[in-house]
Amino acid sequence: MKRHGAVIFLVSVTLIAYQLALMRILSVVQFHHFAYMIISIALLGFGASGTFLYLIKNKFLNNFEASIFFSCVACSSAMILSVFVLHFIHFDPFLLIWDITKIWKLALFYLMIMLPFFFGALIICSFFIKYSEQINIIYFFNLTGSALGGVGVLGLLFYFEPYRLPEIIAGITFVASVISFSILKRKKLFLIPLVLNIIIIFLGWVLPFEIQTSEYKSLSKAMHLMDAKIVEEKFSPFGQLTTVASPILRYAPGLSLNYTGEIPVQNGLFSDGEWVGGIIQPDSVISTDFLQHTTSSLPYLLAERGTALVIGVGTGTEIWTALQNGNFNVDGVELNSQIKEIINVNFPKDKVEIIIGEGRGYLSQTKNSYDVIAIPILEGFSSSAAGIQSVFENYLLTVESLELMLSKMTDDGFLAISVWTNYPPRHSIKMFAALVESLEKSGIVNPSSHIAGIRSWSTATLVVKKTPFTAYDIENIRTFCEANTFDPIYYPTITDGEINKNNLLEEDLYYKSAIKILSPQRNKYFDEYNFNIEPPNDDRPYFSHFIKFKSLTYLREILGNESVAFMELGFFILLITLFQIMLISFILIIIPLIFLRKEKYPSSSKFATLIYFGSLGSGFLLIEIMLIQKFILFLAHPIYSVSVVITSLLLFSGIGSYYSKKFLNNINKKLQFILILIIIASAGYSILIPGMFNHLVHLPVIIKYLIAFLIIAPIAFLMGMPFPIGMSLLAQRFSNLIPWAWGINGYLSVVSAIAAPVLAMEFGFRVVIVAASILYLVALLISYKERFTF
Amino acid sequence: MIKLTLIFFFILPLLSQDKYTKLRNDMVKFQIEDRGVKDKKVLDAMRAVLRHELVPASHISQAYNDHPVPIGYGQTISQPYIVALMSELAAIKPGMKALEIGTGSGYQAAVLAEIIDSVYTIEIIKELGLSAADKLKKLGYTKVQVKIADGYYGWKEAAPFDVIIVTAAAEHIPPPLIEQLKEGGKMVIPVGHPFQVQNLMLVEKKEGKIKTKNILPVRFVPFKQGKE
Repeated sequence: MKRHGAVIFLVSVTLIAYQLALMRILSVVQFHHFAYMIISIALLGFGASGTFLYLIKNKFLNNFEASIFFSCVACSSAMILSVFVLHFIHFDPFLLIWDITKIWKLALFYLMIMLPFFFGALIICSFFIKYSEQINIIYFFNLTGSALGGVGVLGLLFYFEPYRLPEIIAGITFVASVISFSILKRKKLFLIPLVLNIIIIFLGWVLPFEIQTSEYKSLSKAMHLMDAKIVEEKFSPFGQLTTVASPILRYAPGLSLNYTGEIPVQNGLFSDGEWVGGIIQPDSVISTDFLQHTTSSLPYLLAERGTALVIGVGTGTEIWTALQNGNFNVDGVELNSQIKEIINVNFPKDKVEIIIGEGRGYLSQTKNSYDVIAIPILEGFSSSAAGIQSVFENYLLTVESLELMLSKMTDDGFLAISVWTNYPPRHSIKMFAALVESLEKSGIVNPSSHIAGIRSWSTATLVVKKTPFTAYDIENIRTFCEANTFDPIYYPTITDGEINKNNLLEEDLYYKSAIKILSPQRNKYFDEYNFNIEPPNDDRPYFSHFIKFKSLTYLREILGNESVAFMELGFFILLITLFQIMLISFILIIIPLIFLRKEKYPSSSKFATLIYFGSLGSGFLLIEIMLIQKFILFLAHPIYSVSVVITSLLLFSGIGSYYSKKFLNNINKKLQFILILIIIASAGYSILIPGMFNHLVHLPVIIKYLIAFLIIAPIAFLMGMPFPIGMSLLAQRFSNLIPWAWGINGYLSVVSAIAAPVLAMEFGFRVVIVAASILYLVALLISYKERFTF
Repeated sequence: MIKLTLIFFFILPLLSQDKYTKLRNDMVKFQIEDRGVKDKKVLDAMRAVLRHELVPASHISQAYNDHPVPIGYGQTISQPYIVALMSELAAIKPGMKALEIGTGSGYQAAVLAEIIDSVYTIEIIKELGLSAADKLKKLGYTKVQVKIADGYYGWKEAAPFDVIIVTAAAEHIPPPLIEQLKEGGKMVIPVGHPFQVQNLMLVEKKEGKIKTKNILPVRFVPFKQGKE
């Protein structure tokens, strides 16, 4: 069993590592959400392996050692060959909208990426059947291997470019091939595939093939510009940073049309091939004043001098804006240390300090008060238009976060947020609503005296203050708008005659919305507006999610299907992915049922198997996603949260699985007790964790990691038990159902991974937790009803 | 044999031409007129320009469809309706001088050239610029001047312009372009992602002051090919 355990462990390591590596690669060469979609479908390979094994079970098990060996070789080789084939498929998902004949390319994408997962999962599932009496140990190796794979690949991403990882991971899978080869009796027969396996890996390493980058990515387009060249590249789990120089690259978001001077040439910074911003050289800041002619200048113009905090430094344009507009000392908070390395050389050291960290984490810890706190323009120009960010959590722009910012401002300080204006208007209106609500929650009775906003032809800047805006402030805003042909969105004392004069709209919805939001009819207005403009909070932290299902018909009528989809591409891709997965899962779950008819299993057993293992697969994933979401704020970044939660959850679940064997005596009550504990724990965690984190967020990172591990350990330990116990019981009476149960568990896991963000966006994370608790409750009821006999 | 030659060289191209003429007329009727574009000069120009000659061979079958078409290098030829709307918003009249930033396929320049004689167009991607210049010449648009350069500086030697059309969405408008816009002139710029129906921004220069107007194209009538 030792060598078998090593094979399961290594295959589990590589499957999760390969999944994460592909996510990274596809995010660089394609778009994040297409990457998500493709990988999600590919993960159905897990479920498909169960269906396949069910169909060929006897043949596979009669030649078990050889089958395992061939599956290892196939898995390892497919990791290289898939990338090789994908290199030759020139595929742009955007074009599918117009040219459905290219759907075969998408299907081939799915298939190629699915193969390694299929072969890998085949190995694990076959061990479940062959050694059904030791399922708890097999599951232990499976989960602990996955834990190591998850954290290991993040480590590798610090040292290797993402496109190098398939070869490394295939190499680890090759070790599993060698171990399974060592178990074989007639080795000579199997030497050729083993040699072929190592040759494929070697060729993959020596002649690496990269999947072609989409020509519609910002970086691809920039490289077509005159004399464009890459001057710097950096990579880490946060993403791939590329700096491009071209004598024609310039960046001045929302620049006033009255500005007649020069816009300096800047290097462009790209993250995963998407535009981040222009890197301004210090000498051009001295020679031009173009930044003074953007809406982002407003808070500095009003504050005139003092200390400023910029949250999310990016390429540093906002910091230069502060320095150009007054006498400011600026602290900039930036999560990605590699961005700091790229831009920090440019800033005057006596004026600017860049702090590496997450915005809210920094705000919770700092004792400083600032005269200006600014959040620069979010996302790139085109990605904002395309709604790329809609499915990403953004904890910086929630009402709770804005309240925290207000608490760190001086009494006369300004909190400023800049956004792109888009039509129909939604970003700045939602931001306005969030700011008003945060003012109210901070104890300000009359927010209408504490908020102002202006817009250019393409950007809007909103400013709030703890004390009321003075007549002097208001006069400054008026003069600034007039000089730059900007329009006021709102300020105290504004009149109808002052709006919509320079950048004309058929109806000034910005002003109208501001007035409505400040009135008692606010909630009614949220309901009536065609987009979701309700302020985001920590339970629904999706600032960029605007689509309302009830408005879809109207929006489709006036804009057409494609344009509505582009308004929130991320969300629609998520829905399409969910639909595809549910359809494929349904078909693949049904197929074995057709064959199961021949075997005399009671319908209730099949039903119980379907519901029990489906509920576990789904419930496990929902709790995992809830924990990842809760830990993002505590650990300050999604990547840290994902790595800590996945590693600890899988590791302790593995240990739970290992010990589950002890529960097999007097199983009924014990399993029911475990399921009840999971339901209580999941509900308890979702309620208690946020409060607990508020008191612990100041602690050093290492301590926070340890706390995270300790918090996750108990629930993970419990969650590792119901699956192997269920499998063991199934093995005792209906062992033929094991691969089907494994498949169901896999399918429902994938469905839930996609359904969870959809649920959270529409109803909040509380509903995700309620759903998870209900699923474990269903498993509990099945266990009562069937008394574990399935 | 002679009959076959005649069919091959004369009749087939005529049939194919007929097919494209019908597609073009349908395009103007259902995609453009029905959505509210009324300027006769623009409609005639859209009927006249052989759009299928300007798209890459691999996408000819989609040339008259109601969506943008890829032309390589991450660029697209705009949806016919957007080209028509931009041309109408620019209020082009014979005798005017127009500058286009972003030649791309050359389609917008050809539409302009059907209405006015002085069309200047600048393309930053060399391969696209050369290909468009060649195709425009072959189609008889000999007066369209194509330059491969950075559009930021406009075309100083030919300035000022009555109309400036920027074909790609931009996050800033280069000051030299504003400067090269004639008093009373109009500039049209798309805003948003190239694959969606974009918002258009009309920039007008009146008495030295710059004002913008946001236009949200609205699909009054869903496009149904071949239906009256």
